[in-house]
Amino acid sequence: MTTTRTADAGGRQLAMVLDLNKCLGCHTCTIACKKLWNRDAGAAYAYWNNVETQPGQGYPRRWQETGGRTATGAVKRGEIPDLDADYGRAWTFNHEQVRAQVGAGAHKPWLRPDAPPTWGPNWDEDHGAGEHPGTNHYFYLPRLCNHCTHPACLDACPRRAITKRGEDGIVLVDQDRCHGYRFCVEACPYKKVFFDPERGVANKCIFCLPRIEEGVAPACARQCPGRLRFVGYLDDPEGPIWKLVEKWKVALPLHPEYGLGPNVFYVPPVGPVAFDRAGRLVDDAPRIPGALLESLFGSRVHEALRIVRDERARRRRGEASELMDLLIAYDWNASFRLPAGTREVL
Amino acid sequence: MTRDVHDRFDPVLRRRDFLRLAALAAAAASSGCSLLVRARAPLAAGSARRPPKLGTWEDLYRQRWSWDAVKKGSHGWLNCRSACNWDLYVKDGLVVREEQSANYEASEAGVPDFNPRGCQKGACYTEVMYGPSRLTVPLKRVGARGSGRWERVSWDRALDEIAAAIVTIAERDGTDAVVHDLGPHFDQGPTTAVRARFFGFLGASMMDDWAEIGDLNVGATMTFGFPHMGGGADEWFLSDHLVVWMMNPSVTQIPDAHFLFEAKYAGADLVVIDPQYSATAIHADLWLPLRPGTDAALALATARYIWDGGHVDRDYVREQTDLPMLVRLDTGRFLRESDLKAGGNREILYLWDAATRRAVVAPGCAGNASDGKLALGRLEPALEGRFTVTVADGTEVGVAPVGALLREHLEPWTLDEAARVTGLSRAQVERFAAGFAGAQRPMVLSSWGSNRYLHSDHMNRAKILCLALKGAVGRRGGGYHNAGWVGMEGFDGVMAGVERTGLRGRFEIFDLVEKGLLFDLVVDQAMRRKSKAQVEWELGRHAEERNACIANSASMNLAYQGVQADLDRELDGLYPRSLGDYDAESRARGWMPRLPRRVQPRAWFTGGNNFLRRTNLPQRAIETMWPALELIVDVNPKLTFTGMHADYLLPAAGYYEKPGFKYPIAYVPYLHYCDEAVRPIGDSKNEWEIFSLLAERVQAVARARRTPVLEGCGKRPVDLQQIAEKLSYHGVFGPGDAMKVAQEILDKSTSTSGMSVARLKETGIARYTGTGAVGGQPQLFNEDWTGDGVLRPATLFTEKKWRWPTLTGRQQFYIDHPWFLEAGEALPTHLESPKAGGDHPFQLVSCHARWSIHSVWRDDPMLLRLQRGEPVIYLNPTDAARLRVADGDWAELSNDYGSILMRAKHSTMVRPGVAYHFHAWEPHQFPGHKSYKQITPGLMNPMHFAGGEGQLAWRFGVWAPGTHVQDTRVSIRRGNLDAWLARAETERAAAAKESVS
Repeated sequence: MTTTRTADAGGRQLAMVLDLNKCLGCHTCTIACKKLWNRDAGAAYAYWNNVETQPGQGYPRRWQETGGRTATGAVKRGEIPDLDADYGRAWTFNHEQVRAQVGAGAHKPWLRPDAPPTWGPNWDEDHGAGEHPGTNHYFYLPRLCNHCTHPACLDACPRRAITKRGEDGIVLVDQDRCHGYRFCVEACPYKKVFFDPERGVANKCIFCLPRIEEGVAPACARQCPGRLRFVGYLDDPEGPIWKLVEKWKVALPLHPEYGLGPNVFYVPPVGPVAFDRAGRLVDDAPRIPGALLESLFGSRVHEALRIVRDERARRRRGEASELMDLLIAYDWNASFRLPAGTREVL
Repeated sequence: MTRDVHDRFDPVLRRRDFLRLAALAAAAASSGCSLLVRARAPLAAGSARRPPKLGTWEDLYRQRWSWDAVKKGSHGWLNCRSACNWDLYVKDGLVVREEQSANYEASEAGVPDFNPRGCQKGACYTEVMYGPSRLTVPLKRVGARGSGRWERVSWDRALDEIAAAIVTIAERDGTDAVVHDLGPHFDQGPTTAVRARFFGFLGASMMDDWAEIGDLNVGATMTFGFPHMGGGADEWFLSDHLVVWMMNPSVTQIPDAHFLFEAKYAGADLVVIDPQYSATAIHADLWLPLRPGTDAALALATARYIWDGGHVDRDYVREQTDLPMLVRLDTGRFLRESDLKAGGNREILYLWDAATRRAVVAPGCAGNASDGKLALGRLEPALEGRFTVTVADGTEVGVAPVGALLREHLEPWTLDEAARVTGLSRAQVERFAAGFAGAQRPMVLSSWGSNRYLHSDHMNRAKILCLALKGAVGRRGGGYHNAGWVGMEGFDGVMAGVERTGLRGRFEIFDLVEKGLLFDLVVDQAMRRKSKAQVEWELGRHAEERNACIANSASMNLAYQGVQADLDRELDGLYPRSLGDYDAESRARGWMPRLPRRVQPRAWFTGGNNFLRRTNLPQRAIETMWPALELIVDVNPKLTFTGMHADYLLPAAGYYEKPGFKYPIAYVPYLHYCDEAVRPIGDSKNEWEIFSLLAERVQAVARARRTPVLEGCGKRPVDLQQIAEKLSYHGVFGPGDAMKVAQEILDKSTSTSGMSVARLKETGIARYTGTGAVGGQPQLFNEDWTGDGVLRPATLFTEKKWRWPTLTGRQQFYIDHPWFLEAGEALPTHLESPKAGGDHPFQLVSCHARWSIHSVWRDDPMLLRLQRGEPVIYLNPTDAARLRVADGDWAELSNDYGSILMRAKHSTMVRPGVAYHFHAWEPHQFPGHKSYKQITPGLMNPMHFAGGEGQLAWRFGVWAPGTHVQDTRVSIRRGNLDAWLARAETERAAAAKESVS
């Protein structure tokens, strides 16, 4: 893994760490983001932040298969996901028809999507894989724009409408310059750029730019009741990000092999003990297959899991552990280390 | 009929409009004070954040994060087991979004704080508030019930007509023919208080739904004497061995779940016992996927393992449990003073003192009036052995301590036997038992959903037994957590019908009880023979019995909703007698009331619930009870399935439109205030105003008709000519005074000393100043806690050594009630889950919903889009493949009661043989409006109709029979929608024809 983690321009990089061992799958982050940013008609299908069940096809469907690299390491030509088959169109419902009770008897209308849904942003919820009860497994993977150090979307844009800010590394789509060509949608292997067909422009997670300017953490992080998100600058040795990513090396980027240098990092899930066919406990074989975790977080995932387990064992013996204290997040406010706002609100 | 105001704040924006509207918004914004929002500091209520001038495209985004004002709020009048403080962002007169205030502090050093509390539902109540099912104008039915034909009427007309009908029914059939289905949605502010107050002064039957909805932990009541045990969720963090046993906090306790996973990081074990690989189980160290309904077997084997391994905390068990209490071997009943001498007290019980080798009176037992404490002093109670005592007639009888009987009872429960019954492996059972036995501070989390099997009482009794053997109940960081309550006595005063404010009101509450009893109890407390909590408990029980028309909902269900034949058949062979026999004996002995007394229910007031959604076999209630109702009124912010079948819909204000207090669940030791962030939308009104106005109309009608004083339900007389006078505290609180009532509640509650509504409008929350009591029911039994440190329950017993409110005065595992002895249920045991609904291969298991609080968010498009948009039944992929039911197919679920359709969803979390679902879909979300409740009989446990013995005494929300849904069995096949609809229509037409002929 050779990806650098600081912005090329030598500027600073804001980053987020998500501890998957605390994720409840409650989607409060998704709703927080949706309510604040994605209410336009053309963004009805779009979720800058989503939570998906892994293993699974995710949102948009099959995003991991359509981007990234081939088995031989070549960069794949991306695809533009289909609104119905891959994202899932935002279903509308027949509340008024049901209220009016038109029709009679058993055929009276019932509340349902106007067209039969085939896919949606959380279609895979709790599906998982493996065989109950020995090896079945799943975990939740919240996803947002990775604000990459080498953003594929930025490179793909012929209008130069996508920029990476020097002061914090936030990647933004200029809503004035964008002409809606969608090369960025195609290029992003994480499929975190969305096209607004009503307004004719692309848009994406802005890392809650207006909040960051005021020193307030992004909504997905600040509203997370599972307390699994940390926000701060990657190079701040006093902050939780640097400690988890650089010092303790337990927070890893998603699909590092894509080579984009993501700046969202995950503490991988440990999961409960597995059982063999006789119901014996297989203490040394994790329930979540190592290969699955490696496919998502790279080969360093095993070492990260070992560190988490070792530090927990240390706490069980009554010894101190800075890592465990960090992940417990005793003082929730300390999870977010941002400078106080500099721009006075009008 | 509803006003969809979405488009006012969520316009369909095309690019040009986007710019134009953004500029307009900037111009229109009110002139709030300029301020610098500091990093992470909670926003003070009221602060405006004006949008920036439109300079660059980034300003479009900045404008979206702007507001006119921030108000503090929560989801007050809602049966959600959490309480969370929210900033409500008001813009152009609308609440546009909500975000957690996150201004809690850690209870003490070394424990994580509570921030930021919230969930995805709370983060979008605005969607429901302004959503497609919102009621905003009064409506009167003009077609047949359920026809969907309504007429908009004025408040005046609606209230006049309703008042006239109430007075007619009350005079003709008795006031108790009016039923108030309080429902599980309640707050502790003016909203719920005025509902109870109005119907209390009216003498209406108030349904106690705790047990009927399957939430009441009667196993805990049998054991502790009260059903709700648990303090702050941050106490979970202090345990070294957490067992989540019949609970799914990641889904149902979202704001608190983090404490579990943080406790793991602090070194605790986390075990999750669940047939399903739940969203909580995925983070466990050990997940135990047992067969549904076999939890007691696992607990019994664990208890035996603890006992035989020498892990029992014997000092604790001798003092805090009934294990030393002597039982007569000839009758199976406790040895009582009345056995030993003529005229002896039936509630004086004994233990065997090994030091003096004789039976001695047990400290703290119910009849031991001189000693309300448990401390054993020099006594050395035997836990095992057999002894002989001479009874009054001179014969010698054998006696043994409960401990001896218990150990004998546990003998069959080897690890292998538990493995056989639970379907777990021996290794899994042993790993669990050894972990539990070796723990210092084992803690079991058990939800309201843990009461939904016919034999849940045994499961919970057995779980508590394991904890008690370890000395964990009432120990810091250990014990049983199933949700405790802080109490607000001020709420009680408003609700219970005190007529005066101030000092006079304080004294008036004594009018509710008999003076002699009051004197005795005050003396008992002064002499320190009884704890303050016990005196409150006894006074509350007495006041309730004398004054309140509380209906036992299961009895009403059994009597009037047409299910008795079904339930008798379901229970056939399971008990010595039929359910009907037990119910009849219970009523004959006066153990439980049946209301209404003279007639079927004639008027039905609802709102805090959704009766036709929640009741089991609703088709029976619709056939039998519904047609007999002359008046059905739903006072509700939202159109529900029940409302669709009502006569009048009165639009109540939503959660952000009225003052309130979120109910004080002890998980978070803060009072949560709900402000009136915006005026009630449309023509809706808050409940204080609605019921004040209705009381005025009822009073006017009664005066015009010269209605005499009525006998009520046989308790307090009812004077309808005075009802508005009484409701308004003789004119002190008018219809517009909900906010003043809120302050009255604060002023009269020991848990909210010094709090003011004015201050709460700024902060939203304040830490409780004590544990309080409501309904004469203290729930936490910790009188020392005044706000500092982690809130822990039951220290009154374990540290202060006062008696528990049980017959034995201890945690009681032996129930010597004749019914229990006859049925073989004296000790916690494992009983197989009966096949309710017939012998069908799948067990229909439900969980509270992740995506809704009951039915409130069930039809919300924003949340439906993050599900499948329709009700789903979860199947294991192996089962689904065998049945040839593809993911997304219709699945037909059928049993002896009929068939329904749901969409199939495959999930490896589901145990094969289980059909799993998350509850509370509205019936009108299913084809034919037939939900899973149509095939769910809702078993009742006849033992829960018992009374007359210690803690087995009927009381609101403490001891009552309920319904149990998890035993339901179904068959599943791939559904064919058209064929199903055709069949349903044929059956409906045939039934209609039959009823006509």
